[in-house]
Amino acid sequence: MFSNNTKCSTSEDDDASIISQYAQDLLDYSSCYGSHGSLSYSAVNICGRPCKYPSYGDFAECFSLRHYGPRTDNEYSVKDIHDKITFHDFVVIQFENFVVPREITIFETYNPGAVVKILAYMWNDKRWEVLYEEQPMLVEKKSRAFCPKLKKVNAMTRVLRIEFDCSLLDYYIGIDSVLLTGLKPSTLIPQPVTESKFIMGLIQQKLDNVNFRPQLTASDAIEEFLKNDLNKFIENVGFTDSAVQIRREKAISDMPDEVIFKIMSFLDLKSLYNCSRVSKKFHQIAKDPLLYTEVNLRVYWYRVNTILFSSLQERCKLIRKLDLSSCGYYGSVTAEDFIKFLRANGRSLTHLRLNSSQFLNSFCLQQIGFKCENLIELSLQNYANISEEREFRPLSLLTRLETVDLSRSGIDTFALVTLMKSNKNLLHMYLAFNQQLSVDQICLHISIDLPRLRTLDLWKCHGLTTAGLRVLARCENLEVCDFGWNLREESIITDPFKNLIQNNPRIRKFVLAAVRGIAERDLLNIAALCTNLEYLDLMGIVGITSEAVHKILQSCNRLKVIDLSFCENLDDVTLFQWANEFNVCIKRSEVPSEF
Amino acid sequence: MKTIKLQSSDGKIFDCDLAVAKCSGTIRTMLEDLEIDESSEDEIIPLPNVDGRILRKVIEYCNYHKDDPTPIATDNDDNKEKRTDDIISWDAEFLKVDQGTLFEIILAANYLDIANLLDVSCKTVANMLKNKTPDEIRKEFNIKNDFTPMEEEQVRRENTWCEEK
Amino acid sequence: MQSSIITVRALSRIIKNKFSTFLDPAIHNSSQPHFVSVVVGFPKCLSNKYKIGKFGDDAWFTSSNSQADVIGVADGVGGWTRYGIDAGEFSSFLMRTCERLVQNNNFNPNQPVNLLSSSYKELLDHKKPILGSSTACVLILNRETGLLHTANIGDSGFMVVRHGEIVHRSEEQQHYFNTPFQLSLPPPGNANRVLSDSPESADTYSFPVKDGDVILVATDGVFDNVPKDLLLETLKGVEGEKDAVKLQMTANSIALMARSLSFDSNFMSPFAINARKNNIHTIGGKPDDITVVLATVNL
Repeated sequence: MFSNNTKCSTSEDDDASIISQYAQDLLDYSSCYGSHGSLSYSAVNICGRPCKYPSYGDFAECFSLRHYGPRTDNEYSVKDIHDKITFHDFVVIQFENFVVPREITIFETYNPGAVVKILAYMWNDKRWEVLYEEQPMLVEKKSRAFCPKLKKVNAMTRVLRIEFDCSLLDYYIGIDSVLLTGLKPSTLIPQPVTESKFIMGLIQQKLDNVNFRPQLTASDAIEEFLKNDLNKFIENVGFTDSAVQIRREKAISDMPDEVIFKIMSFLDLKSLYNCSRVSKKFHQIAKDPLLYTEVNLRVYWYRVNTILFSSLQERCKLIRKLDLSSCGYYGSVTAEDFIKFLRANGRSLTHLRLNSSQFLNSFCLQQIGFKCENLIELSLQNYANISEEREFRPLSLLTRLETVDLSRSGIDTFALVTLMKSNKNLLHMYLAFNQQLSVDQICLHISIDLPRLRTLDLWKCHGLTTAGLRVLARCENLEVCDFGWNLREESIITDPFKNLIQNNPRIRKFVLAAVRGIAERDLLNIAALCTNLEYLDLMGIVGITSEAVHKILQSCNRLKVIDLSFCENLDDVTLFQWANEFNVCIKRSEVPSEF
Repeated sequence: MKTIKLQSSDGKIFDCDLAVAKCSGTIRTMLEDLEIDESSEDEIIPLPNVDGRILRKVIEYCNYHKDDPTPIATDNDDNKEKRTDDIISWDAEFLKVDQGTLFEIILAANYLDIANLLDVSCKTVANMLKNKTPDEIRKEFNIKNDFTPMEEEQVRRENTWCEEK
Repeated sequence: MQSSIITVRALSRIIKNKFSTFLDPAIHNSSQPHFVSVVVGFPKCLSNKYKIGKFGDDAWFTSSNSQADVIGVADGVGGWTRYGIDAGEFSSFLMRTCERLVQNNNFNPNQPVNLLSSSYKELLDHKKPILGSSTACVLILNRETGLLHTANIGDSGFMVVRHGEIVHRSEEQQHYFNTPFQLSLPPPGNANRVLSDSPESADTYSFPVKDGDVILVATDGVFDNVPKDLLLETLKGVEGEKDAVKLQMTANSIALMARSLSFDSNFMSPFAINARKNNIHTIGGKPDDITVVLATVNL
């Protein structure tokens, strides 16, 4: 280990210099497996040089996302999603030196294939450029240095955003490092044309969209010519004499407004805006608020700016669902824009997603509380990464919430309790990564104020103890329980645990990853009482036994997935047999044996 | 097999299954209003807004789709699937016609209140509109740009966010 | 700190060498003190495959970042093997995590206890349950202030020699004979049956160091078998030594001494002396894993 003494020798030629560098800083991320402040499986591991590559495994030293597989939460505005390459998660990293990017290598050490998009922030133009985008693909399960073909740009950058889609993966990903290689900006040779693969794409699409298909038979030829070609011929030649006018074929301009409206109702936001530039009539119809009841700006996050926001304000008078996740990097959208929008249209909003929305601050939360009285779904993931201010109390002005996602939001216990007291209809509550919460107290208030609660996500909150479990047992409607990485200090949880599952027979997803205190009798209780179980996560449980697992597989007929990674006393061969016998997917993670 | 006679604007008469004809909401209503019961085989339903060529196509469509389950009518638009990539191949082939015919089919489906035909033909047009610049749209669909230069500039400014792909 | 400016030719060289470590020469400000360090050791059972960073159940690390040079050793408590737990896993993980924290700049260069504490907390975030316990000794040389900050839990330790004298030495922390203070993570349900000292119970000591100081950081395999005076004599000889090769030779001889003395059943080792103080009549060395980290302070 001479690392502190090795000097390097550098030599620089006079030719164009290439700079090759690993990520230096983590600027933002949507999710990661590890908690803030911890190094294990955390987003910060993507910085620096690779430490595990080319080994393949579920390493704590690499960056891992919290979820895998197809997403379960529904996207707003389906028409904006289905034909685009969308992401589930992202990470934003900064490098030390500005370069003109030529090559990006992503070192994947577990379940490769999730990278779908790479964007770079062009410093001089102040906008994001898409360097790579492709649908997720199934790749052989081994470590790889992913080096995709990049769009060639001639501006400098040092900030990359990498987006992931894990829907094809059956377990967590692992990313060790990212290497950015590019030209030193001063050595840039001016290029006349930026060659872009996208231009080719447009031409190709045009060719594909040409609809003119003469369906000629011998006898129809004249008729068809008269119908189709003659008009074009006339137009080309310039005849305007009405005497020559033949019965004109129908065109889009002949459509009644409601038909044009219907056509436009299938268009994504970008196409709608393009249409509004075509003609006055199109402009008028394209502005109809009924076309803007669901607006998903997350898909366009890197294009959203203040101008778009103000033009949307008028159009969104009837808006119900709005997704502004990932919007607002480098001030492209400000808190003022958002507040103005809410003042105009907040009353009609029912669903609002603001995950990693960079412009958020206390004033925004205040306005949400004041203006969005009809909100039933609110999501503020990663607010803790964005703002130091923690003023959540105005949110308690909302009273109709059914779903609230406060993962990594930094909400304090008092504000959360107040929020729960005003929203007794809450069905789904996500509180992952909020280490600052007094979880037992939260559980107490859940048992009192939220009788209907179906989903409770306490992943890595760390604060749950048997006291909390005990009061949670008073709930009766739980369907999804995530206690991952909680109950650390607890050695015996049997009685409160049994009560909880006895009173909540409808539990179908149960995450008990790293709840080290779980013993065999607790697993036998699960087998006996959790008859509706479909997904069970028992990663890293020390006290697990084959008998208990077998019992669970036998009794829980609806079980589809069970995670038994890092459970030492289990034998892979037996598990493989059981997976086939009971038709259950058994997850087993791997870390190569040399630690 | 109960059939009904439909007459197009140009006087052509089409024989058609009652079940197929009832794919059209307008025809259903007409049948009720005119109190035509199923026994009378001589009644002719006039459809002055649809010409023979188009009516033939419409009947062809309804014939293929006569066994489709009726979609559940919902209050809010939120639940309606606004995808455009789910057009089945038969429908896509059926709608491989020139623009004029396509729009006539749309008008006919609108007038005759045939929801699935209207949907799929509108989706087809929507697909043609996607990923095109305003200029390309105008060229493709023969639309006149009637903005004044000032108006045009104003609208263009709204669109800076989606310039280039 | 991870970037480097290179030419195209050098780039291909790097790719062949698999990104070998480069350091920006600017980091080593010549007026700031830094370590030149070497490592050597023997596991108690030589038959085990050599793994970097470990000697048997002992583990060690050396690392540096822009602010500090750090050295650490940890001695895994052997009793866990009886319960089917690998005694070296805990110590190894502790040291590897300290190293990562240093390289990520994720620690206060004046607080070695915080470093140990953070490293210990990381254990809880590891998917694979890491059980066991170990001693720990961590030294941080703050290059800016020239101060050496130390923290020691248990019976590993360090020794600083200057001008032929031992100027600083760590104290052994023992609950009772042969039962050192230890950081531990017991299996769930056994917390009250297992000795577990918190990182805050470490002995801490900070002092300035001078150019030429010799620092020995080692596990009890060395201190239990090699008398203090013999160590002093050996260390005196490398005061001011800047050549890593010569340092390595000295470190090797310390380790060899410790090893051979540990198997000498007639030798009145420091361990035996201590035992007699506790009314245990024994003689001879104490076979144990041996880890020696030897460093000199250089300006």
